[in-house]
Amino acid sequence: MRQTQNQAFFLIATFLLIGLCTTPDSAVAKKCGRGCQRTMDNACTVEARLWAAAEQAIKQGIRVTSCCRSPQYNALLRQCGYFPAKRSAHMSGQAIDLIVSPRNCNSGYLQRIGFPPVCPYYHHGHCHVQTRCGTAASAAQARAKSQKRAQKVRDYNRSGRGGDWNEQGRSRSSRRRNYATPKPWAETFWSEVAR
Amino acid sequence: MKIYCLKALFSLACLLLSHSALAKVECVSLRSVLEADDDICESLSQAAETCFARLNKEFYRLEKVKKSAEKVRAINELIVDYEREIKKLNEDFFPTMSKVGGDGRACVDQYAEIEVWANEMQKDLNDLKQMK
Repeated sequence: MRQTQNQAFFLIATFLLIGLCTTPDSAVAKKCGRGCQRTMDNACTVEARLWAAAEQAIKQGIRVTSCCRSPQYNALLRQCGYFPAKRSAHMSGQAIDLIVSPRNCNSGYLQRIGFPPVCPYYHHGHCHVQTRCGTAASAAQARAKSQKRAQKVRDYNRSGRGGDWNEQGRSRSSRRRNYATPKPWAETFWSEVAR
Repeated sequence: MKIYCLKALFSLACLLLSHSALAKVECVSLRSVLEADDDICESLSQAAETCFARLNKEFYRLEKVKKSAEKVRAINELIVDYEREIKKLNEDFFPTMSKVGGDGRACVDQYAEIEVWANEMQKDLNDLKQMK
């Protein structure tokens, strides 16, 4: 009897602990649903023609779920359990997300309701509308940029520095080191070593 | 004395780190990239870039190791990793990007970017095969 009581207590305690650990931080959760904004944190602004079309769409009863995203907000969304792209077109104000049926997620329909020429595609229940449409010239530019970045990756890896490459060209660990304030224990330790 | 001890320990740690066994590099799958909430094209391109960066890191680590049976074994393992990831790009990433939509223009730039990452991986793979 006592053993069963103990087991039940243990089970309840475990469930409570799991619940406590998996409940999202309320502060973070509150910041996650910022919806559609034209500008955010002075970091981006939705293109004028796209914004005008979005306003028009809202008036017609279409839900616009996401517009401009600052780098900070994009990072925050990851904390909230979403997976936005690190260089998303939302961050340069060239994309918005709409709730329309997959059938209506095409440039013909969107132009009829007031959108400029766009390249929309349906994904995860929403229509991702972007004005950044690829051409032969933009593809050539993108290729050239990537080749430069590939060279940077090679230089970084050849140097044998620790950490993984990221687009800033610095390792995550070194970035942390740059911003971190020196720890008093570390200073004591190294002064001890020097002595 | 204390300094010498610390220096010796530090050197030993560095030696161990530089000669530690090369870890298997496995990049993200197409399925996990498609879980991205937006901008699939950009997410795919970033996944390919990160994959190249990780494989290439192992490539240069291996290049610095002295020739030995252990090195040949590690090269063979890395070749398998490179071949698997290049195959993933060719068989999963490229066809998906072609199908994304946007009137066939949404992923054009990112398609070109992934071509670069695939080429770079192929270059490394060729060099690895010669390194054996």
